[in-house]
Amino acid sequence: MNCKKIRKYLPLYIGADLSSKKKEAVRVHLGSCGECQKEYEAYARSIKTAKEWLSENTVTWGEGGWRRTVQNARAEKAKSSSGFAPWPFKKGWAFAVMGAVMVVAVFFITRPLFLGVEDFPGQTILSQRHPQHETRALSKSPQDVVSMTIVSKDTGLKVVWILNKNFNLEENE
Amino acid sequence: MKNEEELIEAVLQGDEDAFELLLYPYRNNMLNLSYRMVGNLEDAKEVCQEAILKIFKYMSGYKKGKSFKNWMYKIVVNASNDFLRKKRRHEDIFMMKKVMADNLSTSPETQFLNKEVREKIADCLEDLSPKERAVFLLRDGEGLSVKEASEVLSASSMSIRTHLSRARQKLRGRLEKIFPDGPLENDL
Ligand SMILES: [Zn+2]
Repeated sequence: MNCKKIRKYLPLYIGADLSSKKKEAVRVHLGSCGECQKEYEAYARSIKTAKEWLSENTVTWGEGGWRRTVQNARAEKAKSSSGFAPWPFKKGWAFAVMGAVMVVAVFFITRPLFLGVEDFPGQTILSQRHPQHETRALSKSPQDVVSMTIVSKDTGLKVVWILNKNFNLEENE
Repeated sequence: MKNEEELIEAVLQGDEDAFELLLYPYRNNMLNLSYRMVGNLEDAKEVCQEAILKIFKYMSGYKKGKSFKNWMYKIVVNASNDFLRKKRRHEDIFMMKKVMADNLSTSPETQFLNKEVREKIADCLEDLSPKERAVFLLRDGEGLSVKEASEVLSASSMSIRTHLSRARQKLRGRLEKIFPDGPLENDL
């Protein structure tokens, strides 16, 4: 490894936060490179200072202050849970209700498409314009089997879709 | 006297007094972490109250067998970040230096560094982004491993290493700017 790469690893090396393979590579390099060794020492010094600062500059709760803080939090909690449910459940319900509203809305918006032609005049115009799309019922009752024939205007290719409600893979006749 | 596991169980059963006992041993860890995150003791106490409330509310989300202390750290860091975000919207913050000079309770037997050095190091934390600060405080301050820090901060180990590396680089740069002739050695 070159010096540039070693320098990149130094901040982690000083805290023993490198993988063992990289750690070993840095250790070997430091043994033979005075410049990087100097860099390492400078890092080690400043981080040692910072760590020492952290360990000696601590703040502590007074008993009264701590007690008050916990009590305030308890009171807060009592207030917030006096509703019908705690927050995560409320949120869950909100999503469920929103989802249901959306499903209903989508149903109403697209409803004309599922209704008969007479309910929605636009549908008639649509099917007149595309006479090659033809839907007709086959042998059984119309609710069970629906066939759809699509004919391409350009190539004359015919595709027949048969949707059978009673279709069964095992007993296919 | 119940142990931590029993206390957690009791809290989950709805025993509110057990909650206080559960948090008590960690109260100063909480305060120190939030204090260094937000840089002001009054704000830190506010953050702690918010964190306690969250721990209380979401206790059911704590996974048994995992470190409760680290779970608590996670909530404290998140509460601190929320606080910083909110506060940044209103004014600029960070009076760490002033605060450190104002109201520090340091025990005399551990005062290795002189006051000037202490204030200047407090200054350095300002330079770190909240994420870098959190990683540095958890790893170098609280002694968590990179893996533990990654769990606390919900980040990959790689991201933790990147932020840790950057934090240490920035701190070193700042410290050397403050002491260009290298008097750091004399203070240690
Ligand atoms: Zn080198």
